[in-house]
Order: sequence, then C-alpha cells, then structure tokens
Amino acid sequence: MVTKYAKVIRLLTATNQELLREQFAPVVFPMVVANYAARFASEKIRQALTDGNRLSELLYHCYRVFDYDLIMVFTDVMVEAEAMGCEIEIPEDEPPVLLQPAREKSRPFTTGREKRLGIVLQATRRLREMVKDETFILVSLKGPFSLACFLAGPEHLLELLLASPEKTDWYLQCALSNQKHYAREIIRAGGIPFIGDPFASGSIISPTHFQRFALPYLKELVDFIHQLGSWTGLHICGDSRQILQLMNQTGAEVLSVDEMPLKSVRTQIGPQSIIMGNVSTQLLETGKPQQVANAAQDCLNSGMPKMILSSACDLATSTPKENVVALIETARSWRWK
Amino acid sequence: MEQDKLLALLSAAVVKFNRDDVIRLCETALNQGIPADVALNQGLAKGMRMVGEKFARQEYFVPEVLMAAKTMYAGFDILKPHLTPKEKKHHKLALGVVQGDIHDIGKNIVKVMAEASGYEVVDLGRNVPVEQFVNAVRDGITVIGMSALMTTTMPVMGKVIIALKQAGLREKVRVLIGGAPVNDLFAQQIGADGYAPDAYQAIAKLKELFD
Repeated sequence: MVTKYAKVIRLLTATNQELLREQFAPVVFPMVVANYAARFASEKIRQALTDGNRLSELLYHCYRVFDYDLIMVFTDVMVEAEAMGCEIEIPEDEPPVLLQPAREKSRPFTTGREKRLGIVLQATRRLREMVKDETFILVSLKGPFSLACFLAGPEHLLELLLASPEKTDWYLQCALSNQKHYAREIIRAGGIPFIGDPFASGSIISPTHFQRFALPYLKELVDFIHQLGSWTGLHICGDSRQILQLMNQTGAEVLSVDEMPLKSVRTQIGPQSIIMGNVSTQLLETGKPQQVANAAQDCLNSGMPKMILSSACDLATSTPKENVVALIETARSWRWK
Repeated sequence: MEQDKLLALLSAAVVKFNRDDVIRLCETALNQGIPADVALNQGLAKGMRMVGEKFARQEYFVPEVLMAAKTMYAGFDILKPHLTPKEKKHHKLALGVVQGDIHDIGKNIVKVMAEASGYEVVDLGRNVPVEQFVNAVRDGITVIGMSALMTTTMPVMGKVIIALKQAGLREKVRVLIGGAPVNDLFAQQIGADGYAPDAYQAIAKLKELFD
C-alpha cells in the first residue's frame, strides 16, 4: 500500500502526464487546525493554543478519526508577532486578540522558544514521533507582509505602503529575518513550513503593492526554505484572482486558494502547479453533505491531477463531522473519466 | 478661485491623498465664503465617493481608502466648526465589530464612507457585546451596521437580532451586516435587513433603505 507520504511526494515530483497515466488518486486535507481540533474534542480552544503536547494530541486525534492525508499545525495568526513583541490576549474560547503592536520595538528572532513559537515546535516534534514517516506535517509560517502588518498594526502598515515605502521595508525585513530562522526551526522539528499571508490578499492590497511589498519577501523566504531542502506552500485568503500569477512566481510548490472558481485558477497558473483548495468553508459549515460532495467533485474536476482537495480556508469550529467526511470521501471515491 | 473649480480640486485632492492641498483648499473655501456644508458635500465627500467608486472598480484597495479617509478627515477638522447642525440629516448609524472579533478595518472604511455621505455615525468599536448594540438602539440609533471577519463570530450577529426582538426594539431599527464570511443568505437567515459585500455597497444599501 502506498503511504500518504509517498503519495504527496509523487504529487510533488511527477509530471502531469505521469499522474494521468497512473490514474493518480487525489490527496485530500480539510484544513483542520487547532481550534477545530479542540472543539472536536469538546474542549475550549485556549489550551490547544498554549500547550504543545495537548495541541499535538488534538491534531493527531482528528487525523486518525478522519484519516485525511496531511497534518497542519496552526494555532492562530499571532504566534510570530507575539514572539516578536506584540502584546496579545488569548481568550478562553476565541482566537487571540492583538492588543498592542510591537512597532519599532519589534524583536528579531533569538532562540525559537519565545512565547508560543516553542509550543508550535513542540507540537510538531510530538506529531512527528506519533506519525513517524507516515505523512507530512505542515506548520504555519506567516508571510512577511502579514507579519509586518501585525508588528506595525495593520492599518498603520497599510498606510505606510503609500506614506513611507522605506519604513514598510524596514518592517518587512524585520519580519523576513525572523521567518527565515523560524522556518529553519520548523524543518528541524520535522515540519514543512507552510506560508499563510492573509493580509497580502487581493481583497486588501493592489496587485502593484503585492508585487512591490509581498512578492520579493515571499520569494526570498521560499528560496530560503528550498535551500534548506524543504518544499513549501502558500495560502492567501480572499480574492486572489489578480495575484495568482504573482503567487506562482514565489516558487512555492503548493498554492492554496480561498473561495473562487478553480477552473480559472487552473487556467491562470498553468497545469504544473499544485492547487490546494477550495471547497467553501461556509458551505462546509452550513451545507448538507451532498452539497459538499458536489462542490468537492467540481474542485477535483477542475484541478486534478496536480491538486490537494481541501477547504477554502481553515475549517470553522462548528463544521459538522458529516461534511468533513463528505469532503474526504469524495476524494477517496473519485475516479478518472 | 471659482467655486466649482475649487470644489473639484478639493475632491481630486482627497482622491490623491494630498493632505496639504486639502487643508489649503478647505481654508480657501471658508475664506471665500463658500458654506462649510457645500465644501463638505461637494468637495470632501464627493472625493470620498470617487474613492469608493475606484474601490468598487478595484482601482483602489484598502491602503488607498485608508489614506484618502485620513486626508478627508484633515479637511473635515477644518470645516467642522463651521458646519451648521442642519447637515446632521439622515439616520443615526451605529457601527461595530461583533463580540469576539477584532478585525475592524472594514468597519472603519464603512464609517468613513458613511460620514462622508452625511450619516451621523456612532462607532461602537470592535469586540462589541450584544447588549451594547441593544443599548445603542435604546439611545436613539436607527440603523445598526455589524461586521465580522470570522466564521466563529458571525453567529453573534444573529444573537444581536434576537436580543433586539426580546427587548422589543427590532421594529425601531434597521440592521445591516457585512464582513468576509457573511452573505445575503446569511443575512436572510438571521433576519437582518440587508447585506453589503463592501463599503461602497453598504452606503448604497443605506440609501436604498431610506431614500
């Protein structure tokens, strides 16, 4: 039997023609992250965000129950920003809140154990021991642009794009330098750095600004990860239709896209790039299993073979189990026509 | 300078985020005896409407709207002391990001656009408890605008509407909602009066409800 690990490697390395010839089966991963995994075990989410061992157990439990193909260690978007000096609050059962951006006091990376960086790395190491070499463990790494937004405060940084490109670059450099170190630690812990850059969204900044302020830093980060011998992915939330080709230029092996027609995504980025996505998270939360299956079917028909069937963004905590199962089952029973 | 030309320059300065020009032109307008409300509505606010149109056409994005808003407020501060209360027309609008959610950029943009369109806005801020929306209606608010970025917090919007019904205030207020995970269907499900996908359309929706 082909392991999940081998399947993903095949997806990463084989050509389209080879995958077609092999009638390659879809890789599937609904974006189950810390908060969903905590709710799934009927727990409040704070412990999952602050205790590496518990986080690994919760994620492992979901992985075993649903039997999808990848694991993702993602607690929330504030992990790196907090380690670099932003003040945050972690409510008992809600995602963390940014209280005070670090601004000029942003601290560069030192040991990799600051605040919750250590928790994420601990969870990654534990999961690596638990699953051995069964599959890949994706670990969330903020894109430099989004991290810079947290460091400066989002509105402040967005204004700086126009008011002071130099100052913007200062924040971006600071973020990039931290993320390179953190990426190395993620790989050491047995994970794959998986970049999420929610503020670089085409719903927030223009393609011109993406090209000037997000792309070069993403590209340098991706190059660095490649030098360390790892592959990587890039997830950007919101409407990224206008920046898909730029996302592709980062060199990330996997492009994870939010809700948008997958057919046009495929047309824009070409047949060789791996698309991860993109069944509506809202449909997953509120729809019926059959609707989820139909949407997943559409995704596969548009995206295969270079495709990881997934949700458009991370799963809402109240997503019914049956809908997650419907997504996975659709991939398992999908056949080439 | 001719009034029309001055007002056109004022609008253009907002669109180009030219703060110095906005300040200078507002002062000139007042010195020339142009009424403050004319400078506001046909200069600054018109500029902001043009910004909204550019946003809708995806020529402008969030940074541009934020900068234009900042520029508009620089002029607004100059005109404000000279505005007569009669411009406070329309309805009183309370805006807030619902409890548990702190993503307020979208809400802030709606605020700017609403103020530029002449609405009186009470900004309830972010992470706003259900009861605070209800109290706002008790205090005479006639429109509530709620926003949420996260699927985990959007159900709170429904809770606000239920709380309004329980307090017997639902008929006194119109409820509009927005935010990335929200859509028309969700608005109908929770019994809101409308949904808008962006700030520009939020203002159009407000007008549709009342004009």
